[in-house]
Amino acid sequence: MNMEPKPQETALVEMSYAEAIRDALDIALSTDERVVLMGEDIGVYGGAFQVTGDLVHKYGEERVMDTPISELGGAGVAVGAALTGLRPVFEFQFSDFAMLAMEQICNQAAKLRYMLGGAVSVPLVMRFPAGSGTGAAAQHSQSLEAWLAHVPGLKVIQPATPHDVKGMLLAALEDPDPVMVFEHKILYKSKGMVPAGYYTVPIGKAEVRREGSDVTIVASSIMVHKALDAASELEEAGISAEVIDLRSIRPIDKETIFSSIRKTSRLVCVYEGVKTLGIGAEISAMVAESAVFDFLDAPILRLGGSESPIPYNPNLEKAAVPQTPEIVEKVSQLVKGKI
Amino acid sequence: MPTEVIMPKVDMDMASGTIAAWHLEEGQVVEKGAPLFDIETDKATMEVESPATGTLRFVIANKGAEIPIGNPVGWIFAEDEAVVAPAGVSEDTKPQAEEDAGSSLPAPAVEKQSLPASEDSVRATPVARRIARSENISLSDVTGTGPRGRITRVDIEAVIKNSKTMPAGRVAATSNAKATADKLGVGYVELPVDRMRAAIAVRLTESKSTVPHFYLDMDCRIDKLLAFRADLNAALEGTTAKRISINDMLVRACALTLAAVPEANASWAGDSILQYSEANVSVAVAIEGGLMTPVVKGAQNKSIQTLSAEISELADRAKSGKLSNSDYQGGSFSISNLGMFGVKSFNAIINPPESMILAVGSAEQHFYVGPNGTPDLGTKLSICLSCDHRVVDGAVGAKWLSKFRSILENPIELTLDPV
Amino acid sequence: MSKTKQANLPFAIAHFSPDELRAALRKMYLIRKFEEGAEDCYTRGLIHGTMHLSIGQEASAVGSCMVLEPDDQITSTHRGHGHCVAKGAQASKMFAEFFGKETGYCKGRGGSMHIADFESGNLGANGIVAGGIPIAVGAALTSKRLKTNKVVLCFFGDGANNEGAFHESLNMASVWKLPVVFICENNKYGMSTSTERSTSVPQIAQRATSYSMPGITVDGNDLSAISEAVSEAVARARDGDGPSLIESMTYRWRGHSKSDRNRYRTKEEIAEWMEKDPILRLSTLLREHNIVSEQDIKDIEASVDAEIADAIEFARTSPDPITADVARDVYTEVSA
Repeated sequence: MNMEPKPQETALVEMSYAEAIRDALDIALSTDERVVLMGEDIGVYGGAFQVTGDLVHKYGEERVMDTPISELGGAGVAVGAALTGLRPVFEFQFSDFAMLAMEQICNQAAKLRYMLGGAVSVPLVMRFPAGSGTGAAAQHSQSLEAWLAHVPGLKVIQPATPHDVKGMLLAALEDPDPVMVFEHKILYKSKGMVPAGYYTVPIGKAEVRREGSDVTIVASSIMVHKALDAASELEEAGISAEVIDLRSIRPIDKETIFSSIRKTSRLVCVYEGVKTLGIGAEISAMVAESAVFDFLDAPILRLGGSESPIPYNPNLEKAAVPQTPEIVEKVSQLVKGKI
Repeated sequence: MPTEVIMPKVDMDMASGTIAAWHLEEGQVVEKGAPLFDIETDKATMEVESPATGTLRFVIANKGAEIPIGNPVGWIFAEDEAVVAPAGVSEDTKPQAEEDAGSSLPAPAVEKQSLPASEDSVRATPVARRIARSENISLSDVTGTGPRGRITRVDIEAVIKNSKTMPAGRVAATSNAKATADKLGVGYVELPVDRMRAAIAVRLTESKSTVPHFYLDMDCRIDKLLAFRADLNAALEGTTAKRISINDMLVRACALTLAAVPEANASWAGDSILQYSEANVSVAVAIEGGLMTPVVKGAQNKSIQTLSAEISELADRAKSGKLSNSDYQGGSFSISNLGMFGVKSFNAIINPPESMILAVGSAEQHFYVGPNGTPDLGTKLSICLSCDHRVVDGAVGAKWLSKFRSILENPIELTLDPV
Repeated sequence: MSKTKQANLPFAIAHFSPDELRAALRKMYLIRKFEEGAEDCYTRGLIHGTMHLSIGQEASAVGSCMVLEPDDQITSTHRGHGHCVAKGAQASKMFAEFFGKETGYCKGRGGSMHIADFESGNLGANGIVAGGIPIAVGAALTSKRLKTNKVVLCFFGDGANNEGAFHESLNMASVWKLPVVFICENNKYGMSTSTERSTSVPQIAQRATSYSMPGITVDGNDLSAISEAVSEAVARARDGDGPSLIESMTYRWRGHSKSDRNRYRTKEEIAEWMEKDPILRLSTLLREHNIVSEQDIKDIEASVDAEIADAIEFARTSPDPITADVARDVYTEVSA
């Protein structure tokens, strides 16, 4: 994976994505008394994906709280706690279960500040293990980030690397507003170099992961890695693809996308959520509405999840979301003027 | 939804059209198919018919306005249709009016809501359109290589690189005549360049600077031709038929010669040569303020009399500005005759994409060397053939000219079918 | 608050000072006049949207809130005007909110259903049935974690007792022994559906047994009874013994909202409950104990009427928000 973070002055440590999250939570728990972790089985079990690990032993059950299996109530407690002075980090066991808590996320956390005329903030962080590829089928594999990104008042991020997830989680804990962190489950074991200690990665800034001149591929989360793999293959075919890691989908970094398109004149959006009405639809529309439209030299292409639930059969499961060969093929067709 | 009235594309190389006149005013009712407005293109005035029956409203282009093709100029509202301003048009949108007729750039408001409504619209990517706009390139001059003929950036950049296309009305002065004249106090009257003048400037600059011309001069003795013409007109005496001119006979001779030397009846097409199956002879007609070249199609199969009537009719329409685009497009060869002005001979500029033009000078009395060296008074016609060397080599041009002369000197051949 | 307990006296008379009791009466009257004023403004077309009036339920709001310390917090419901006034909100800023004005509690962004006043400890009314219940539990969690010693009163209606959020919240509050008091104002109908038709237990207080907390049903139109029950529950919460559930039996004289045509209840039932007017009951009690005189009541009424008139005038003449600010306060502006 050629996604090494930019050189930092602090020491770099190799760690997995899950370890990077735990590192961020550890730093937050140790430096801010207001921080509490809440979620199902995040205590002695260590979390369904071993993200919280043994933090409960270090900070105790009062700071690393196992909740009952009560997504709605638990999320609401987190909202109320955030509203009154704590800094809760709420973990949904699977992002799919957040649908049980949509009322508290969308009606309460997102809207309280606005409804109350700006009198309050809701500094809440929620973590959503998301995505397919684990054989967990339709109710444990979804990518719901676009659902939440549709709600003004929420911030929605999709870090793709251990470096970013730690820095963005720490930025989320500094943020006065509710931040929804979508973590692709397949990424939990991916490794990368992460600066030791405290640092933040700003929310709302995309990152150009690879520079190129023929086409801009805008991807998020695990699709960044697939897009980078595709870009390497495309290079062998003489096609120079620029890959942008969105990192944050609300707010979205228009300028990084736009300036790339000014250079390449072609746009391909790659995302795991269902293609229709997804992130790519939004980016396409933003480009079409903007002055950057006049720089396009080809139709905009979206590669997104299929118009189906995520299936169980491994071949079907792969077919339901964009894969590297498809990205290579479509980008190649686009650049060669066949689309 | 009201029916959009757009600036139609009526000419192959047309990027925009100028409203010459409206046949009715806003608020008036029009039948589908009735004349709605006239447009002035580079070469002619065309009538545009109403696309629907209803009331004309929201006219956003008045007389004199130049509108890109495909852009709306107004809307026809059906009888029971609510009068709501169409998208992009506010109630108080001012028409592009007569006062800014001099401006060749469309108003931004109109440009913004450019809709590719007609089938004729050029398919081009946004970046291609943007570059074309800034470089003043007409998209209709560009060949699209993308899917479904879409013009992409590569296509536009190729055009810029080759500089094959000069923008309409934008032929730069070779030297700054105005600055010089102003500096030296030379008196002048500055005349505006109309579309026809601009088109002439573009096409002939392009031809003279990109087509490799060469010229072949020849004299023809036309005593027999004159006698044959006298016989023909004597035969027409007492009928209503128009009398045959020398020019009519020359066109017929050109047509037969083109049929006989098909390799010269051709166009350069970049990576191929198009050899035409018919002799489509463009006849230069001087008109007020310029020059038109209406085309006699399939001239090789038309009798002198038919040609005569057709040339006369085309010339009349050219002079009254009533030529349609198909009347002056598709020529394979041109003939230009300045003999009537006493011009002895001249070298003409080829009218692309044709590859030859015949320049005809005046007929003069000439002493030929007769039998036993005695003077033999005859009539000599000087002609000059301009050839595009990419298509026509010297020998082919010579072959063409000698065939042409043999017909003129044995005019009974004019009545034969093409070989 | 007087702590000396006197035998045979109603709880309120024994535990509150005459000034506190007169203030309670005035607050109940203020709630009544506020809502009547709001209804009048609505009828005149000065207020848009809708509103949910709590006329007839004033004792439940005032009796509950009067036992709280100023720092304690409440969460409220769509029928929350009474809770708001009881916790100390100003009628003028409430009216301004009803009028959608920039001077309102929510700067015109929330309206009748979303009034909050963090300064007085009101964490906000809520447009979602049971929406505020987990939030109250969260606030109680903060209190416990940060050791602020605050107690949270969580108001909700009988309709909310069948929401999942209610059950999940009571369970968590009990498991974690949080300082929260759940007050169910049972006015017999969730919109049009009666508790008999919607709820599997005769009294909602019985739900408490499932969550191992005290549950008590009280006459919600009796200020003394409700304040006695809440006082005990608040003390238990503050002592770290966890939550309680109080069911306050009361009645709304008006319909569910402005669109209610009262098809599900009889005029006789409404008349019967109007006989149990909580304001009349408290003023009678206070007169019996010589805490207020006839003249005092008249003075209270006159001063409330003047306050309401001023509040409406303040709201009417306040500036509207500017439309360019439609997306203001969606996010917290962070200075760079």
